[in-house]
Amino acid sequence: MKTRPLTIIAAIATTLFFLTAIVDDADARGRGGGGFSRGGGEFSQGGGFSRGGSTMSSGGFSRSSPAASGSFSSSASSASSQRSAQRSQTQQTASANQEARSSSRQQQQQSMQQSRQQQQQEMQQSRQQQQQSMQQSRSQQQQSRQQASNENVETRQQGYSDRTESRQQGYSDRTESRQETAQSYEGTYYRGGNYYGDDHWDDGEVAAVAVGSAAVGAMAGYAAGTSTTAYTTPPPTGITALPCTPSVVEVSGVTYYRCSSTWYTQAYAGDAVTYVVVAPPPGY
Amino acid sequence: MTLKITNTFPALLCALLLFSGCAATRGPTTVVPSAPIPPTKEGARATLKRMAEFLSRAQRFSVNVQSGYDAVQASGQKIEFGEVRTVTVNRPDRLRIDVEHSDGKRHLVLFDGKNITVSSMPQNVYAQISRPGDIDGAVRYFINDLNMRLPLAMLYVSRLPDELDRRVQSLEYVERTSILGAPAHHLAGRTETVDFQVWIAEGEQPLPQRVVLTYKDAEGQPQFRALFSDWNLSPTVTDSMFMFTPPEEAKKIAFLPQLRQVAIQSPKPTGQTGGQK
Repeated sequence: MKTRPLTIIAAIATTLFFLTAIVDDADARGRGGGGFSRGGGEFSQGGGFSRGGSTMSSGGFSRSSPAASGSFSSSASSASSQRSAQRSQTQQTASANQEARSSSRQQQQQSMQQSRQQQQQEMQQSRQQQQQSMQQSRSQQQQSRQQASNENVETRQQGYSDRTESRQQGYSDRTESRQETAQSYEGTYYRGGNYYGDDHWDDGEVAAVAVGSAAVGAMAGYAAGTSTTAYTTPPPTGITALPCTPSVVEVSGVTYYRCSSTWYTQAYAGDAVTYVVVAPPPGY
Repeated sequence: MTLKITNTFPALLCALLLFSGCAATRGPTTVVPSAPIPPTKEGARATLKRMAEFLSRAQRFSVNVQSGYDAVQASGQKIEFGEVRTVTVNRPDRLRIDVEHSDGKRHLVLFDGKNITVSSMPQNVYAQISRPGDIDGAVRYFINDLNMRLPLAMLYVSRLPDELDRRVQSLEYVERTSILGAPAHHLAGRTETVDFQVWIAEGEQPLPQRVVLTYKDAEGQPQFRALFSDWNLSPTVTDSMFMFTPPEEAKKIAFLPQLRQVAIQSPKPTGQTGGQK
């Protein structure tokens, strides 16, 4: 007998629990159009991608990303030409989406208009379209076809406006981005030993590949642990794999790799071990 | 005040915790009710501040971080790369981070109060530089001057509350959730350049459980996502954990800015081919 009340409580609790879950779910869906949409998955479920080797690109997938910094601030603003190209693509996509949304809105409006009187519809259409409409049949079927045509025209017009706006916005964005990039390149990474403001000390995005050359004469400094940093210009960056099977030479504790007439040494860039072009070691 | 939970009356427990999501069915054996957090901006702000202060005041802690970030390819396709970190912080001046990347490469970052060291396998290389001071200074130097990568670095510095105060422009309370395994407050905020979401554990230890960062100004708006596990606020630490002993035949290499610094101090080399990538 003692177990009976517990069983009842369990049954009630379980029922309430599921009811609550259902209500929560419905509420969440209802909120979908508000501040925090639940639409879309957070993680890509695609799978099956090849990593494409250990290099940063070379036919594989690039690991480079401003998101790799895991920072609450970002200096990323289309700093590389690759991202500029992508921005263009994104803009096109955004424009297409906008166009699609406009089209959808347009169609919705047209549907609402269809329920009104035909005269009201014609007043909302352009004069030219109205004339075309009048020239065409008077039957309801033909009017419907005309409406469809008008929808397309209006949608195209709307799309054109959207694209123009998008291009203008994109131009402004790119201009701002270039300015910001120039500023961050001067100020963010290499600032003569001074931190670039307190707000953005961790917004570093590893600089894009821009192979430079380092002299060899004093390179033993870091090997001996005596080197300190005082930057005035961006350092060179490197590649994560050599283009050949190199000949290896060690001079003053520094290992050099030679491919043809080009000499490399290894250095950390971001958290990757890279090969950087350097001057030949003494005696070579 | 704690509520002891046993397995004898799961139904009763469920009924009691019904309005708090019944999370204890898969949570720890002890639940500590906390003051209710109002689902408002003020509640969100208080929760984030509480987390920041709690973490920044912890004398030491360790945590596992499973993270991934989107790399937006030239085609626009997003590829996620992942990594797993074990972070050990021993304030004021010891830090150890063991990292394994999704491609199998392993890195170790050490700070022993004097030197910053990074080592990598299987390359069997390391770089080391002198930087006496505390963790805050070392972390900033590591990222800012050495241009190295240390995701979520802000969570490891004692200035976390100030850092958040300065950056966060808006903050909202999204919802209370238990799907991460324990009740947590889901907050969403914006900085000037990053939209972020953070799930903070409910209770006496308001530790971050998950973080999602969206780089809204970057192409494709890539995200960084991190899931925290195994928070330990009293890990066993020894000095040797933070000191570096080079593996056999390990090669010492430079941090990239060191090479440049050397280069600008030296005569311009001749006969360089350069330009190879």
